[in-house]
Amino acid sequence: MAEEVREETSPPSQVAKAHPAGQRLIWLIVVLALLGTLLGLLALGLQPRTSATLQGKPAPPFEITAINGEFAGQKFSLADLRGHIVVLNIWASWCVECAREATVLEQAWRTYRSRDVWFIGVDYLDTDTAGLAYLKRFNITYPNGPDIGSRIYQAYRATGVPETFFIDRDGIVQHVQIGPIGQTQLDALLNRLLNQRRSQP
Amino acid sequence: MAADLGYVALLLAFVLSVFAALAAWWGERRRTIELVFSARNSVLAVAGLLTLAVLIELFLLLSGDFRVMYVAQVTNRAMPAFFKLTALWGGQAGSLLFWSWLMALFAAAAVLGGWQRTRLLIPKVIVVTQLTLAFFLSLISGIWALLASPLEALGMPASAALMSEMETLTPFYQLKFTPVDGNGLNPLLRHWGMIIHPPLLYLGFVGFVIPFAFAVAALSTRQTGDLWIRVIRRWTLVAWLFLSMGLLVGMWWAYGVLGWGGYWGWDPVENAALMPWLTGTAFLHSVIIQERRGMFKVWNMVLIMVTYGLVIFGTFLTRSGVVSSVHAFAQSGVGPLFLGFVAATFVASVLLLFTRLDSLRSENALDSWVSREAVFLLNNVLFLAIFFVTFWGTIFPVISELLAGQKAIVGPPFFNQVNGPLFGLLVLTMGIAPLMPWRRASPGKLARLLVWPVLAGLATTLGLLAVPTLRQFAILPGTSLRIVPVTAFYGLLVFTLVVIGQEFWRGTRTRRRAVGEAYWTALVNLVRYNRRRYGGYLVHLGVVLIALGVIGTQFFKVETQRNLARGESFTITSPLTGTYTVTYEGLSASIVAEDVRRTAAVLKITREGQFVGLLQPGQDFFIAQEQAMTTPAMHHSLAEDLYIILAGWEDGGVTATFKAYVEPLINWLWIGGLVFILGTAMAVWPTPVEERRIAVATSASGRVVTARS
Amino acid sequence: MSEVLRTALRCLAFSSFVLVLALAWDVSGALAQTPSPDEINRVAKMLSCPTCAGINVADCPTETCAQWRAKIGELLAEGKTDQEILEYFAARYGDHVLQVPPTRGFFLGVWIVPILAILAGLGTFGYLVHRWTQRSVVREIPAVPGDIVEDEYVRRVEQELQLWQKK
Repeated sequence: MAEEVREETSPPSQVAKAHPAGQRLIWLIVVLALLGTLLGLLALGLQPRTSATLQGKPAPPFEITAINGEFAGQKFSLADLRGHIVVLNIWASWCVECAREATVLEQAWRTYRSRDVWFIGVDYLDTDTAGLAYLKRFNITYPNGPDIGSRIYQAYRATGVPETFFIDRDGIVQHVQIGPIGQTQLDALLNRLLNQRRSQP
Repeated sequence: MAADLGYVALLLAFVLSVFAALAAWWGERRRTIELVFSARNSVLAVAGLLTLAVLIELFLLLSGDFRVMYVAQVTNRAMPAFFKLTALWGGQAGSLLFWSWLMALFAAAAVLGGWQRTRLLIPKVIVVTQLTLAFFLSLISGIWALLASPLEALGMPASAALMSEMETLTPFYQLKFTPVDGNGLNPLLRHWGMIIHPPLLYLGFVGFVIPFAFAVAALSTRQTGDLWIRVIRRWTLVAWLFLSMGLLVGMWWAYGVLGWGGYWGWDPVENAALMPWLTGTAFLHSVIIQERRGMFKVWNMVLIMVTYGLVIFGTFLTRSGVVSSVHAFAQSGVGPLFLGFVAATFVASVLLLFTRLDSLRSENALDSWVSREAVFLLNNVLFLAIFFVTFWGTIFPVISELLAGQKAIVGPPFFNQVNGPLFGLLVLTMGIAPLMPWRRASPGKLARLLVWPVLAGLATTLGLLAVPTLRQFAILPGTSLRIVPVTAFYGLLVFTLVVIGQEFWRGTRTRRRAVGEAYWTALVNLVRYNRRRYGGYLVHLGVVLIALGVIGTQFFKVETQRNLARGESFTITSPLTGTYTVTYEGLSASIVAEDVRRTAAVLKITREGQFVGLLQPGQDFFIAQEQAMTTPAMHHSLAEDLYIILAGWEDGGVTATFKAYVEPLINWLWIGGLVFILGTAMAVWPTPVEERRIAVATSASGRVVTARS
Repeated sequence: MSEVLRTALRCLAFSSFVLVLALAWDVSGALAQTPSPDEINRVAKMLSCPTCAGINVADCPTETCAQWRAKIGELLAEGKTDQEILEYFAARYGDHVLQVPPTRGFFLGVWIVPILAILAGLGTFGYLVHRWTQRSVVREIPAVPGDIVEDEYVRRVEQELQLWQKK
């Protein structure tokens, strides 16, 4: 018993208003515009925004107030350090990989300090006590400060810890290290940066 | 060897699905019936090929062929065989294959089933279903990797890299070497609830593609009358049933396994599954209006298009990594592709709708505020409002990151505070809708129907207000909601209960009078021959019970955390049943499975001096993944659950930390869920063959509608 | 019945006792005792863990959250209010540790847009229903016997009978 396709027998007078072409077009444009905006925003949101994209670009500004050793209480910012080589290292006390590279970084600081290389440590999400405990454990003497508001973490588009940024004298990010760094690689990078000629200020 | 065969089957299925879409389109256009036949056969062939592909994949998983990358990703040697099979949908590539297979089966069933009754619509149905299927298959057949070189040449290395990654996203991709062992799945996924949750959801999602396909077919062939609505009625209900089940099972699993005593976190992936459910429910209700009175045709089209679009959009959200979620798959190149597909779908739907608007004339108009149509429309508005709030909260982090530079977090407080009142209004609407007649209510009639429900509701409200000891339930702790609104809500729940009961009673009584059956027989037959209506009432009853559970747990939950030494105890007081005393007896270790070690605490529970039971909350340690998972322990009763987890221990159990919750009325949520499912299943079930009659309904416009009951 | 009354009364008494205690706590300000885990959790539940998505600091098992819970305990012992503690964490670690965005500037949009949309939706609903029902008041509604049908079943039986009679 197949069902036939029925014709509509709608009473003529009671039919709802027809949609005039002009009104239709306006609605169409509005709907498509809204859709387009939404999808466009989502498409932009899909773009990779990791720290790796900072390579070769000017380093985002940062500022910390150090909490350890000789530098305790002093402010360090990217602007102040212009003209020096900066190694910016984001870490956390609970991060196993950070612990792995801690001694390497500290050694390099002691070696390269005289050659005008500044190591700056940024503590992500730790409480002051936990941060200080970590610094004490590895005897770290270069300036370290908490990332207030997690602004540095966000500005540098970090997606985890540790991440280390090698910034040259002109303030350009020459290398982004995601994950711990080893001795040889660190030496090579620093030598490269030191030998790099500075562009006209 | 087997993997190669599987890959060939997959590729072939992709090619055939594209062919089917093209053949159906061209065949309809040129009125060449052979092409349409060819398309239909291709649809069946695709279903067969994908079945073969799935069987091969299952074989590979079971036999532990780690050379196949997917097998190495989701299984390991130590996994029990059953979990190896269900790992089919444990990872990105496999779950896309599983999805495609379900799609192909549904498409084949729709085409076969509709061949007789709706031949005019079938070609476009084939086009829509096969195009969707082709897209999903393209993701896992490595086709997109072909774009890598052209993109590279065009100077877009990032996109080229994403596309070449797609080559490995096939479930049959083989590595150059054979790993010794696989990774295995996240231990959380080994629970049986997590096993059936994805298939249920997928069945729901895939199920909604069929009504959408028929809607597009109806629009494009201008058969926009009742035909497509009637054809899709059961499909929509079935899809909605599976989606509802998937959501409920997900909530049940979250509660039982995750250890924070909650069942819904407004996580983006949860929301992604909720959104099509919301618009789907709105659609379910408003098609009834179109069936009865030929109204809201444009609106129904919009709803089904939005629902389908949200299904794909939800897939996009889950798999693209654009929002951060505990559920999400790892980020990959599928994101942009899904976004493109979503965009294409929405734009095409909008254009189709706008060019066919003239075929969607309403046959009737709204007669009165006080009518079922108006109430259903309000129901739609509320569902759409909840959908929008959920949608906004889910994508706001993305928007805020783009426009304000900072990724905002939108958490449960936002959703609860804005959606809560909306859900409350929805329950109110649900309460009064069955009382409303079509077109216009006569005041006298309405008043008579309202008497008992209103009396019951008022009695509940006043009772709660008047009796001092019950007053504590009238205040929602942690909110500023005080006595009157809250007791009114309880009264509303009772009101709705009585309305539903009244409907059953009136129907039974009328049938008794008309046919002379005994009460019980009358009731059974009433439901038998009006399955959709009374199944619907059962679903509403389920909603009331779920609402009860939600109110109980959201507002009256009690929790505490204590660190105990052996022999010590703590107390936790339930608002309903008294004070529990929990004594820590000791820690025990056991081996649960080949690679799982459990450490459990033994707790003695007493309440008001009466021994209640022993609970053993613990932690399971999965050796291979080096991951621990808490296993909560619960004491269930109708009034509440006592829910305890072992948060940690020191010195091998000398001291241990426990978190305990009292969850009032939680089990009414699960009972309500069962009633809900039962009601939907009842509504879906076909009426008995021997009694199937052709019901003739005459709508007020004089139009004669033929429908099968 | 008395059992229920008794337990309910006990609940009431217990909650009153707790309330008095809480009030006393508040009034006395800085008490030098360690806050209980429950008190810490009460505040921790309002913070969102930045390292895992969608979990609050009370439920989160990571070390960060353990540190933060200890910090909350310290701040509570100093007599800080819940709001002050939340502000401290937001300032120290960023606004994304709060469970809803702060109500200022761009982020107000999270609340305003949905509320506007809901009002617009309800308004449109009201307007449309009003306009449609106005129109139908003008139309004649044909009087069909049993116009407002009481029961679908009876109506269908009647109509079926009519059909059969016509045949």
